Amino acid sequence: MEMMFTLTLKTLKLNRKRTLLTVFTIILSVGMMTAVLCGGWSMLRFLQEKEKIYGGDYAYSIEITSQQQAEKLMQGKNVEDVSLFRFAGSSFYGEPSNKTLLAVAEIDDAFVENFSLEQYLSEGRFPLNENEIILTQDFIDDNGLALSVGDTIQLSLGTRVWDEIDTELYGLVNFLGERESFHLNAERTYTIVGIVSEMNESKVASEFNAYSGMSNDGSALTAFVKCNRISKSVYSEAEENAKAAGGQVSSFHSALLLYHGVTGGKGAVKILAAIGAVILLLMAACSAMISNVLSISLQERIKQLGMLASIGATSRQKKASVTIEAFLLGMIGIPFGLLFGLGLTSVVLAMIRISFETAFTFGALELNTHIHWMILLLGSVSGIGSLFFACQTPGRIASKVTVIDTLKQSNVYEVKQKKTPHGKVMSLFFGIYGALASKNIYRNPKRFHAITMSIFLAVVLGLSLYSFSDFMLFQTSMDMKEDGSSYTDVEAAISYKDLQAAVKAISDEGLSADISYRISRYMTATFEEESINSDMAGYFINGNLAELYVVGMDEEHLYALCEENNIDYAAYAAESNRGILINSATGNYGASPSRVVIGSPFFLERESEIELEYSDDSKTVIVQDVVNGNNANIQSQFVRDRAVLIVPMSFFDWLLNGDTYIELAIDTSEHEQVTECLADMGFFQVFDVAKTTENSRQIYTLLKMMVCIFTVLMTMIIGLNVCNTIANTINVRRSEFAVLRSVGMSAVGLKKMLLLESALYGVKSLLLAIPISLIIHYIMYSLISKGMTPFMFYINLRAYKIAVIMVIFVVVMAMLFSLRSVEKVEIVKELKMGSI
Amino acid sequence: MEILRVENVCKTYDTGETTVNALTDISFSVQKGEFVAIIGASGSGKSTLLHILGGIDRPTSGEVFVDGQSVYERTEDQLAVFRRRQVGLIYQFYNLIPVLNVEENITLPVKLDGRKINKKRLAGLLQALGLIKRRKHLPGQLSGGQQQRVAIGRALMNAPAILLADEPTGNLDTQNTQEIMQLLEASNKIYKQTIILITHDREIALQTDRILEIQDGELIRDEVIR
Repeated sequence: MEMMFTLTLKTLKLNRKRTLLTVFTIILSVGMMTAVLCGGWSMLRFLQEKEKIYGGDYAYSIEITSQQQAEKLMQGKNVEDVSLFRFAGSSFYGEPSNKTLLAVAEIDDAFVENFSLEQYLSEGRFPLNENEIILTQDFIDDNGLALSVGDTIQLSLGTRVWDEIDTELYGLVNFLGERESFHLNAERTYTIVGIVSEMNESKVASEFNAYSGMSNDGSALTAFVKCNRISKSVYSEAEENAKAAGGQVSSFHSALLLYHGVTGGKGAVKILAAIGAVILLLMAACSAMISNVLSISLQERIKQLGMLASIGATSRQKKASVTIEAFLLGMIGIPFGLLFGLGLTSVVLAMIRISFETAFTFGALELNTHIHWMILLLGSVSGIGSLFFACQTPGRIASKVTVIDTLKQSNVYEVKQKKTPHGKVMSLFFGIYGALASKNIYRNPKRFHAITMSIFLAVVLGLSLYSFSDFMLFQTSMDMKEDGSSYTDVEAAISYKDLQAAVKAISDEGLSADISYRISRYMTATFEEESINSDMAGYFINGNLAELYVVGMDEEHLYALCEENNIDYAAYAAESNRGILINSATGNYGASPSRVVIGSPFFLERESEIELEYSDDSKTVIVQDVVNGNNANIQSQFVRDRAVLIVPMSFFDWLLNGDTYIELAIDTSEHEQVTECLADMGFFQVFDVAKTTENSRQIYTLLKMMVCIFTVLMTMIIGLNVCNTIANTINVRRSEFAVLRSVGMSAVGLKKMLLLESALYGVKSLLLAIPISLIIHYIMYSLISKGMTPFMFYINLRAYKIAVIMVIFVVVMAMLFSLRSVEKVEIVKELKMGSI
Repeated sequence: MEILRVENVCKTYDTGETTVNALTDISFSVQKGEFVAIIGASGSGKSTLLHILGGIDRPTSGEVFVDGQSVYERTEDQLAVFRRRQVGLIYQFYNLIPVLNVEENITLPVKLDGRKINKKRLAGLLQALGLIKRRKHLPGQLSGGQQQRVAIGRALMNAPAILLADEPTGNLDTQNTQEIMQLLEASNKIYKQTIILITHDREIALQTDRILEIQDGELIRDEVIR
């Protein structure tokens, strides 16, 4: 074996180019697998740390009533620390209002540490006992108070109750005015020992603006338990510890447990399965490619192995030449691959961090690379595994090489077929060079398929993933303006009688917002045949009954809408039964029910009358203005699958009363604050549309970015593979090239023939890859369009152009890289080597 | 009519540490229609001389004239054209293009020239070479003798000024050897094809008109047999 080792090492040194190419393939393959593992781990660590800061570093909470119980808990199973918290009560420091409202929490020093509150301290320290308090700077500034560290403050602590539903208000819920009542519990005097900034990034602490030390008054308090190690046994431990301490488990920190793999159930299993599948796919692809390069290397050593066979080498020894080569290359490739993977992870995470700053930085916490020994182990194992599987086929071939193979000087480029292609088409355009190129690429079907399949897989995989992310991004952007912002930043559904209160609350908070309100209903109407667009027949029920989305808008915003779209507002101001018909709908309304179309369902002139039916009521509307065509800028604010009829709010006077639900559409840059303000008022149907839209956009942009990075890497690996294979095909045909030169083919002619061969590899791969990609593209479209808001089918031609260019680039670079060795073909030398 | 003239051709290989004089001051001429054998021991320089005559390898010094024109005053591309049109090469190991069938291998030099194939000539060659029934076969489907016939056909397709054969029978059995020699003789006698043949077999050499003997890179004998 020592002899085989030495021989293999020398062979590798002799063919440095091939060896380097193989090592690069291994580095890229191992690097990709390591990057997937490390990237996933780093992301998970970020989410864990973020949740610890945001939600607190605890696994579960137990309701207890005394500090003694807390001390017992500390002795519990797998308990590292216990943080104590109690809602001491509310108070108004002056006339009751949002501004003067104080929500006081009692906390201990463990709470400060485990809920990362230190970062908010701007002056002084956190309280150590029940007579000390810290206040937020905002509270002091908002009330114009001259309070500082060392001052005392007297508070009437009590309970706020929402009278309508007889519920205690917890924390900093907005002042409800007459709807709430205050029940005094105790008068307390505190010494201010510290000032903090608003604890916006702490889920628990942000609900309060004053914090004192723990009292031992026997009232219920919450013990947040931090575990030494989070595992699936956390549930049984929590019950056991609660029982031992005489308390009751109140909640589990489900987000943190999810990130530690404890909860999540099928969802978490699916994610893990997906990551596992990606790794296995990568391993399989990398194995195949490394196997190909080992086969190429073997093929160049057939003669050598035959000679070894002639002097007595056994099958095992011959097979060992392949295994040793893989081992030697792996020894270099795997460590560098791991380093490359870690480096790649760092670069990608940095790109993500910079591109999506809001999502991936959290205070001082940033998305960074985390390395775990398990990642290095798994990366190495996957690399070794890929090499092991890659060795099998070439090893088997090596073990079977005979002496005759050497004497016959047989190689994989021996033409085994009885016929070769005519090459007539290529001959027509490129003469003898085209004909030879056409015949040459088919001379070894296995090698041909290896090259074209590699290119095919890269193109199909890249385009399919790109299609998916592109469609998802398009879906998200359907509800956005051209600049990427949403049409509405905050949406809410409230009772008509609460409208003024909501507007006042937002104003009181000092938030800048443009609030429009509307009422909307789906109504039906029957249309005459001549008014129906037969191309959109699918829109109509029973041939002539259609549903419209009728929206009543407030005066101010209806006026603004008219101004924006060059519509005369005067008619709408004068009469309430006039409407603007947005005559456009997207759906499966065309002749083919499976195809999504966009079109105008109606042929209506101005001043046409529509008889709208709603429940038992019937109302006549005069269509004052008709807006035909695809009007995304108006329609995106409402619905896409129905024509929209916009009327003055007064049209709905017959329907509107205090309890009628209306929709608020609020434009504001302070969408998070407005959402919080409305939610604090007790409105449940409040949606931060801007945030959701931005999050979705970020996710899908991130997905697109990851797809591009993945595709580039796969292209590099496959490009190297193609390079290697094509280089080999040239290498073993040197004698043939010498003969062609000797019968009068010029050097330029030889290069022309080889370039045509490379072009054919690319063209033949694309001929299959493009149609398959288009089919998958359509399947993606069908799944996404049907599952979400329907949209018309489109093809992102740019992606396909890029794919074609990349394929051409890869094969031409591979050929140019190999042509340098062709230039060194010495006719005499090659002819002397013997037959082809 | 003189078809080939070699004047003071030398070929030296400088391998760094040593200098090898493969050919030293070779001079001779060949008339059109002559059948010449070059003999000599292994390593004497026969193949080197043949490669120089065929425009494959440049001499270190000296001149080669084919049909009155200097071979080596040409550029590389012009040499390629020269090899296509004025030289026909036959090798010991046939050196056919594996992906081209018999017909395509024979017509390869014509196609490289971008000219139309003379179908009559092709048919005649195939007939003479006994390859009519095998015209669509690939080299891998032919015997050694058949492959060498294809090589001869390729060499003759363009009716070259000189036909150079490097041990054309070296890889063949006795019967095939005889057949190949008969073919060469026929092309020489009937078509006045000038042939220069390298061989180490004196019996084959005696079937030609003239023998040139090379020893250690020098022409030591130039004898007319017939």
